[in-house]
Amino acid sequence: MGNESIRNIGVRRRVVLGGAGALAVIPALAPLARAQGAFDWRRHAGTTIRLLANRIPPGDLLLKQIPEFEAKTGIKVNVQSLPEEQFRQRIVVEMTAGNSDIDVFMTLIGNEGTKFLKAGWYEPVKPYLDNPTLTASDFDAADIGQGAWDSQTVFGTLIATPIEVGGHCLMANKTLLQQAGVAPPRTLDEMEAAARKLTDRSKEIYGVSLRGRRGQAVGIFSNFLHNMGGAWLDKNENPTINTPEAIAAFEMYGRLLREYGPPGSTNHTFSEVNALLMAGKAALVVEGTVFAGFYEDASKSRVAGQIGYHPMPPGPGGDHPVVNGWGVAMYSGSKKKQAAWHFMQWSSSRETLLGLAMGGQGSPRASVWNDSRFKSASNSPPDWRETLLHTVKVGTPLFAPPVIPVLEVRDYIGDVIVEAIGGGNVRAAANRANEQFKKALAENKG
Amino acid sequence: MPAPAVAALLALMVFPLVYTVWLSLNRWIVSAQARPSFVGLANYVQLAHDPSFWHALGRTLLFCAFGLALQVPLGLGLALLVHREFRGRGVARTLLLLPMMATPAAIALVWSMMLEPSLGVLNYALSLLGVAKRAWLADPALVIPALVVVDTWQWCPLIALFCLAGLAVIPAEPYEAARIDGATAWQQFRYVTLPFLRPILVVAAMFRAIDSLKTFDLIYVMTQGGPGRASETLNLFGFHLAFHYFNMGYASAFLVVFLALVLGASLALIALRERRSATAYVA
Repeated sequence: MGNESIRNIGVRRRVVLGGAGALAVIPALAPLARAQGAFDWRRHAGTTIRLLANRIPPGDLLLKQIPEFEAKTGIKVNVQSLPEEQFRQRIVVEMTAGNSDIDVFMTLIGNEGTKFLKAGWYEPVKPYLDNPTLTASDFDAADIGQGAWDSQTVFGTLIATPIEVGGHCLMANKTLLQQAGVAPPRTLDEMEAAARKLTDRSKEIYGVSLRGRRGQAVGIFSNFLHNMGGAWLDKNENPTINTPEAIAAFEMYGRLLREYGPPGSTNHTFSEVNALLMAGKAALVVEGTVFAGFYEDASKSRVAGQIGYHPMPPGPGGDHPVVNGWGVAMYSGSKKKQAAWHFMQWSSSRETLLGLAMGGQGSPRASVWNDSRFKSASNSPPDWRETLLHTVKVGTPLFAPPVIPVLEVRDYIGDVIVEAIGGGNVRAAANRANEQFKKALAENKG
Repeated sequence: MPAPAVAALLALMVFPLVYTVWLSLNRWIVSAQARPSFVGLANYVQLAHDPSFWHALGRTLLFCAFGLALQVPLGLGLALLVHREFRGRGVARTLLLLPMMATPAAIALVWSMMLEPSLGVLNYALSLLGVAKRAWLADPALVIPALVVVDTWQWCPLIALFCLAGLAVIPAEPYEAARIDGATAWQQFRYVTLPFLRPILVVAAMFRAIDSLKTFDLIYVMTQGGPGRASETLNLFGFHLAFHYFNMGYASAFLVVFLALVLGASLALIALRERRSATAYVA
């Protein structure tokens, strides 16, 4: 540690204190010394960096604080914020073309980690983090939980700094549950029974609402797959989405939406599911913990204060809810890597993450969870915190298969989900999708 | 000096086309991080045997035919309506053109909300009339008709605009002659208005047909081709191949075929028009 603190103090200080012997070498080393000098937030003042952000709550909350970053560092941030699908396509198209001027971008490894890492688009973060001339002394990496660091690590390489930890959980409309005399379900079977009791089509109250739009439904479905004992791949990386466990999961997902869900589920993404929950029409919803801020915002939501947060119900396959976390990554082709790293460490700094947490995001930092301002924030109810901590402890980041052609494979899995919701032949659909999955993997072997 | 113009044309139009054709003869899956490799016509053979392609072609033709069947008569009707003299005609004509000026993506978002089965205003309005609620965009049988309705709302005025231009140049004499001969309003329409308008109707239909063959924004925003693949038209199919599956060689082969289809449809319509106008002169 002693050695590090010397480096923290910095080269210039050593020059002053170093005595005559050191002085003789100074002229030659001076330019390097300045570049490598003590950490300075203003070192890259005047630089402009480009950020590609996803238009979801953690992204929006980060963008809101960017003026503070610009004032602190003098670095101008050129922000482009796009809806999720377009956001991801944009990155892929620009980086494939090889001439992107993106410096930093938000990333979610469960979706793109495998592909981006193998494509060489991520700049490994560890060398920056471990270099005290590049990282602020008060960054305090140990304050960020190991799970959060893991959520930004792909096959052993740290590729981003975490700005959020979240997961999928069960949200229940407490008023509707009370009226129907139903307790919050603690298993998948109980969930189905509860959905049956809660559904009242004459009043347009639906027991459950889940994403059903093809590829976009896959993330939520993965909770059911894993808890029913299924998996995306076996040990040899062969697809296993037509095993009896997987088929049972598809059938349960389809049955829930067909019999106790709102009409039109096959066109629903998280926007529609959230809208139904917030309008008081859906009783049970499995969605991302990131949305709590929406639900509890009384100016937009009819159900503020009425939502109970519970862990995703376990099933015969155990308790494996989705856990995930957005991070900020650096493009390996960036020409302003040090300025980009300034942005990344600021994104995961205590003050910035407190801002995200106050907006309803799960924080990677222990100090934020213990902050009195966060504890008193009305939009993070105690059961939400407990549920999130449980989810982070037991969860799996595999909300999509960890393969390169993830978007293509998601569509094939989505076809089975749509078939299941429609009440079609799930076994045949799952067999077909498994074959397509295999073919896509083979084609992407290069 | 035509050289810069020729150079620009080559760079902006000929090069992409030639490059697409070249790519279509290669296997190139970008996400596999491999270089393109020449495979001859393999992509075209695969396309001919791809049920998803034929499905998308069927959906596209349905969308196009359904759209034309609705938009041409409606557009003509609208044109006849606002062609007559009445108070506020200028305002009515301006209002008619408003849908065309809006951004398709914005229109699609608004209509998606209106068509939402549980929260949308359309089902609410229908429920007041005692009509059962429907999942417009999530029902495989209803999604194409629902999209056609939105497409019609936006583009039917274009047909009306064409027809108005046509109506404005029909001389008064044939109508006077027809009236003297005791023709009814229907007969005047059938034997005077319609023959005069036919060439322009064909042009309008052609524009709409080409447009609707390649409709993308509306469908992408409203359904992304869903539910399942029920509204996956050719353009969405190609988009998925290129930007979801990153299968650029295969997507290029598809694009070449798609271009040939659109070009073929246009040539057929032009031929039809020339034959019609030729017979008109003979008559």
